[in-house]
Amino acid sequence: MKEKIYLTVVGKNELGIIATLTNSLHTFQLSVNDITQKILDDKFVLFMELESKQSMEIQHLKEHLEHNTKNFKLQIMLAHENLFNAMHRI
Amino acid sequence: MTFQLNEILETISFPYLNHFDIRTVTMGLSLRDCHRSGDQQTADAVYDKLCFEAKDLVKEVDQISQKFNIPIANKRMAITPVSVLCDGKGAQAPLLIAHAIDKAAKELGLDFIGGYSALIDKGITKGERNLIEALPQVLTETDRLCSSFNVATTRTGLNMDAIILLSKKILETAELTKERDAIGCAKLVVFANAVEDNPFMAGAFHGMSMGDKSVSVGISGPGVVRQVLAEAPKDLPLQDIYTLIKKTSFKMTRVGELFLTEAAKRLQCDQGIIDISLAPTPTPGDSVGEVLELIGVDQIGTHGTTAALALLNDAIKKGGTMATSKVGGLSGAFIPLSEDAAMIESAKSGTLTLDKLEAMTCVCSVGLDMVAVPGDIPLATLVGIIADECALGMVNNKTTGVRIIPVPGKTTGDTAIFGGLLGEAPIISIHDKQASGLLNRGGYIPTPVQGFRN
Repeated sequence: MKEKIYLTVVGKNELGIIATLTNSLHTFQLSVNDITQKILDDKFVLFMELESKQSMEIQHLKEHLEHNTKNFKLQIMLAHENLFNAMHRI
Repeated sequence: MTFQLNEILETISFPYLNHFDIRTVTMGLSLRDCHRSGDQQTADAVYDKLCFEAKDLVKEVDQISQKFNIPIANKRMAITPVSVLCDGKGAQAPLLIAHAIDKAAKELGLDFIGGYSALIDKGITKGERNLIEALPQVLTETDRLCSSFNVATTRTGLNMDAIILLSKKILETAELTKERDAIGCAKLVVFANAVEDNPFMAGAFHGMSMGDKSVSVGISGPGVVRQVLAEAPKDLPLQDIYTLIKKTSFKMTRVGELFLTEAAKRLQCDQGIIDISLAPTPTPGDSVGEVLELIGVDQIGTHGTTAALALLNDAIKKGGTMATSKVGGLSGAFIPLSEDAAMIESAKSGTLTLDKLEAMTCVCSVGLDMVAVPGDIPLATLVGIIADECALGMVNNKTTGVRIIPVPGKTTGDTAIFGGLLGEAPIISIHDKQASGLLNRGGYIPTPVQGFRN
């Protein structure tokens, strides 16, 4: 079953962050439905809507992303779409 | 993108900036089929059932937390009142069962199991008496077992004999655990109108009207409400403040419902209830006291605090009841003195007194919670404090509870240190005059007229 996952990344802006992130996403066979990325006050801020073809353990993805980006100073947040549905859609 | 960026940011800010968490996922389990012929056999049956039924609880709950990126602070269980298993057993049964439960909690990685309990608002059976007799030893020798007793209801009246008996046991427990500032007493609540589906400790138990197995969720989040109010204009009318709290409670409860649905599916048990309680922690910013101060009092405990708390409590309930049909438990605002930085500060400065706390419990969800008093408190005074609080619950048809900690060797102005979520409590002042007559007379207060609703 298809699932959407929302990725938020905040941290110090450096070269290669998106390349590193998308490398992990490719490993997990995730497609990027949407991406918004900005530099705000020298901070790197990114939102992505990801889609997986089948149900997956988000923790595994998070660990992979954190491992791959350990040379950057980033905070990575992932959450299943149902969380946002619960809070913002009736 | 399916969601606006501000919606994503708001969701993320709940746990990351404002301490929002699911305070507890609590599995309720019936132990009524654990009666065996002997005391030890019964304790063994309890241990086996707990270990079998809850073997996946911690693992599954952790996975839910990771899936939705919201912390779950505690994994707990609520069980059938242990008194039910003690009738027809020997005097040793309560202690043996208590140790079996504590051992299971540790092996399962649970934070607490609640249910060393009895409903004694009308009378006390032999098994229940054995359970109470063992209480100080149980609270001293176990770490993760919580205890509660219901001593009054609107339907049956108030059992003063039970209050006197429990007060003696509270003092004994305090003495036995004096090396740790009487922490044993922090695991005991005396209730009026106890609810059967409360997932919060120390008062959780799996009521006699419940099914075999269910899971309930307790939400917290004073930090989120505090942040919303901090951003609101200072001259915003109270009805608009009310609406802001209501909307926030709605969103938090929706998250709770999501967790409840997911947990029940994964653990293959009934969906219990969602308890929408603002439960503070000692972490700065995660304080109900600060919320009340933002609503409109200079310091929690001063005049106006009860009105502000009434507003807060009702707005939380209304937002929650719109968000889910499964609201239950205690639901409202908790005011545990030792766990709330603003309340600790106010009690230290003398603004927040025991009398004001008692008044506040008329409009909040529970009662005198985590209140530390001088260790030399007379028995008659302790009886009076508990009886007052239970009378409030009985007459006003609401749940009230007392979690009181007489701290041996300490007196008004000192501080009791409990650590962790239990925080630290300034020893609060009590009146010199005692309730000697209530103690000497004993007996019971009959059903109030509010109880005759047939």
